[in-house]
Amino acid sequence: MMRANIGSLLKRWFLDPLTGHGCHQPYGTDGGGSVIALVGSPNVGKSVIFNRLTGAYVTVSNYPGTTVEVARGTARIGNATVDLVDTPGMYSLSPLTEEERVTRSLLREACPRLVLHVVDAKNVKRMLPLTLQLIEAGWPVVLVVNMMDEARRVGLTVNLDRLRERLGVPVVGTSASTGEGIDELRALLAELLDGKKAAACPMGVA
Amino acid sequence: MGCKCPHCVASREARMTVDYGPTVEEALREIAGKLEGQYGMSGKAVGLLLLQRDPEIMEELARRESAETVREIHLVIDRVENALDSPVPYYVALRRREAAAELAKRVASADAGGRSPAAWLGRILVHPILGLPALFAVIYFGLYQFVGVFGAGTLVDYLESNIFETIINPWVNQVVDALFPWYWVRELLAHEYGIITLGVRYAVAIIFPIVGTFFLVFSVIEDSGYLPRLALMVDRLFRAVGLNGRAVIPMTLGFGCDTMATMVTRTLETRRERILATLLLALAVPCSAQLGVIMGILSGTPGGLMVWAGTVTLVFLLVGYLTARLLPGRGPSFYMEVPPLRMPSLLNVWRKTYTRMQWYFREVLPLFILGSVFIWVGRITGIFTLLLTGLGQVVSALGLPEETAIAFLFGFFRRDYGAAGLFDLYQNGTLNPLQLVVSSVTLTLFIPCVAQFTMMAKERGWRTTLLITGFIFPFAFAVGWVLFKILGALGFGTT
Amino acid sequence: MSEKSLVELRVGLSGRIVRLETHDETLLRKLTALGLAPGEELTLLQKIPSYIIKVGYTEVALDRETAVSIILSCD
Ligand SMILES: Nc1nc2c(ncn2[C@@H]2O[C@H](COP(=O)(O)OP(=O)(O)OP(=O)(O)O)[C@@H](O)[C@H]2O)c(=O)[nH]1
Ligand SMILES: [Mg+2]
Repeated sequence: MMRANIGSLLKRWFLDPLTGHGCHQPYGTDGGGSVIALVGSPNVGKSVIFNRLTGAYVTVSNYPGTTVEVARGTARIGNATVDLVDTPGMYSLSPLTEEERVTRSLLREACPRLVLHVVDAKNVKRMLPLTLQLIEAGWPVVLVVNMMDEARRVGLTVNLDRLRERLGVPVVGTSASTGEGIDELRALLAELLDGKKAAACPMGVA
Repeated sequence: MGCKCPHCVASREARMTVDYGPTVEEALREIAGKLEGQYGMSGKAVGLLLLQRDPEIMEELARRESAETVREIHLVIDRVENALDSPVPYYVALRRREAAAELAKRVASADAGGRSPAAWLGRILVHPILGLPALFAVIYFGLYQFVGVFGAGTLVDYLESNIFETIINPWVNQVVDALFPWYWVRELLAHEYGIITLGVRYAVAIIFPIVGTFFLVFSVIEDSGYLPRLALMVDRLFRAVGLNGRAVIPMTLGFGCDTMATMVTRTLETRRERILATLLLALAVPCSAQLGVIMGILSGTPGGLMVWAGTVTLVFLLVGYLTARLLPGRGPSFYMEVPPLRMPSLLNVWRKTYTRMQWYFREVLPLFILGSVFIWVGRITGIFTLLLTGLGQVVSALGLPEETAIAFLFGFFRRDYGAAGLFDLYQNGTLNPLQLVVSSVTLTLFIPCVAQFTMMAKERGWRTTLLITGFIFPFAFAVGWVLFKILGALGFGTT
Repeated sequence: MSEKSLVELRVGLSGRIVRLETHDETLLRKLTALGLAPGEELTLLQKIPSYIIKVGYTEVALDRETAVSIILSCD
């Protein structure tokens, strides 16, 4: 688990400078990478979701900054097998620490097929700015509102339909640690990955 | 244009955008119009990062665009900076937050004031007074009782005496002697330094129970949410050594495995902190195996355990303090999100412990075996004896019997390997209490193990790593020597 | 209605952030990322050994130096 990304580091340090940059596709066209990336603030449950979707195990702990390097895995979504990456938590697209830098570079170089932005349902207000930033950057964002169980416990409701409508991106609610909403998430991903049409559309047309 | 699929409300126009105000929006349009290169994200996002003078993007801009474009874009950036009355990054963040807040108001609603569970316990853990007994309880029950007494005591004793010494080792010795007529082959596999009788025994009977129990306890602590609370409790103390509360996580993880912890120092913000933390981990944070064995060795001499803990803590603080003075720069401000306390899930605790043990063993076992082979080669060629004589002299200066040199030599391979070697000597009764304390302290400070050394080089670079080890090696022995003199003068252990 | 910095606020009381008084741009970015921005209402939970404040459903720990730069209005 610890050595997972040496290969990608090597590639970034040695190969990419030679070939220009990871992403050769002009921005906004489909046909970039096939990766699904999990991003979001620290400690929101990205790694739990990664484990749920891939069946692998990356470290999950209750403090910000658990994941320090990118982890890769494969998930069976619908009839397809897709590559999933779990990233270190980041607060915004302007990196303050080394791991945040890594996550941004990954997003810029991998041309992700989908970017799952995981947020804590109790703190949507604090976390939505990153959603807006990811949308602004043109990535195919899916908003995963996690920790719905805790939000309910503190008496908070999040209106997912209205969020979807306002943001203009797919939204799904989950409680990753209990498994609630994971099936919906899978179904949504399957739908989005199904065929050119869905995959191209969140990117808009160049 | 546009898509009719169910979830895609999403032709691009339907996606929410932030309005950054006329000055910035105008600048963004201008910049986006000039960009030729590919940046892996939209022109608007690139423009915003440029306006904030993001170093990485600025550098790429200089590489990808013509000198003319770069100059023009710099003019736009200057213009925006002059027009706004707060720093651009701050301005941009606020506009975005406003948009988010507006949206959040419409989608999230709080009804009757539900209370987060276990809030009272959370308050106690960070209470300036009650927090201390709480910390003490965590250390006493979690570390001392479970890892020290149960793991390093009960489990190790059982595996050592009931499994290896009475069953496996005699059997292996017999079988190997029967199969191989050659002395050196017998010695490679069995007897005092054999791969199976020494390497595998150390790994399975001494290291496994100690590291296993530590990782188990640590997982529970991690999943509960205690660590960020500990971080804010010790922030001031850590400040004295040039770090801040944030460093608690790598530091405490070091008590499990310094190699893993060295990797986690990445989460620290500045290079200065990362170097300080790496140094302190290598010098004064004993890993669980070492800790367990030392607790086992010194448990017979409670005074010794105190002296050991006191000396190592003092070295930690002193070296941290002085190095922090020496390195330019200052500790960054401390801020940390404190997550709610959560009930650790058994499944996660188990999976995490299991994965860590797996990682650890993949790292350890080969080195233990290699260690045995190395010693074997050393003995055949006589280098081992030579090294031992050399090290033996250093060790004698500390008032230690020459046999301890073997333990120190092992220490090169693994921190815990060395500690386990000491454990053997202790069990034979070769060392007296004074010698036990001095050798435990020296061994704790002494050189990081091979795995940690490699990780240090990977994370911090060779130069820093060599500087750090070059300092630690003589320093550890110097501290041992001073301690020997002081304790000797005080008549420690003679009563 | 008066302005004061977080260190002057009594434990258990709340205030609304009016501005962040620091020239350290990194610190500004960190604080805003944690949800500490003008307009937000916060409650001070404790000061020793570190400052702990509650903003929305988030608890944040800060050192004194950082707390000084958070200016609140309280009534
Ligand atoms: N109650 C509840 N707890 C959750 C949920 N999802 C995650 N958690 C807990 O939140 C904590 C953080 O989960 P992680 O998956 O490690 O978070 P992360 O986003 O990967 O964090 P970083 O790696 O630090 O960026 C763990 O203690 C999880 O058990 C959820 O839906 N409900
Ligand atoms: Mg994680």
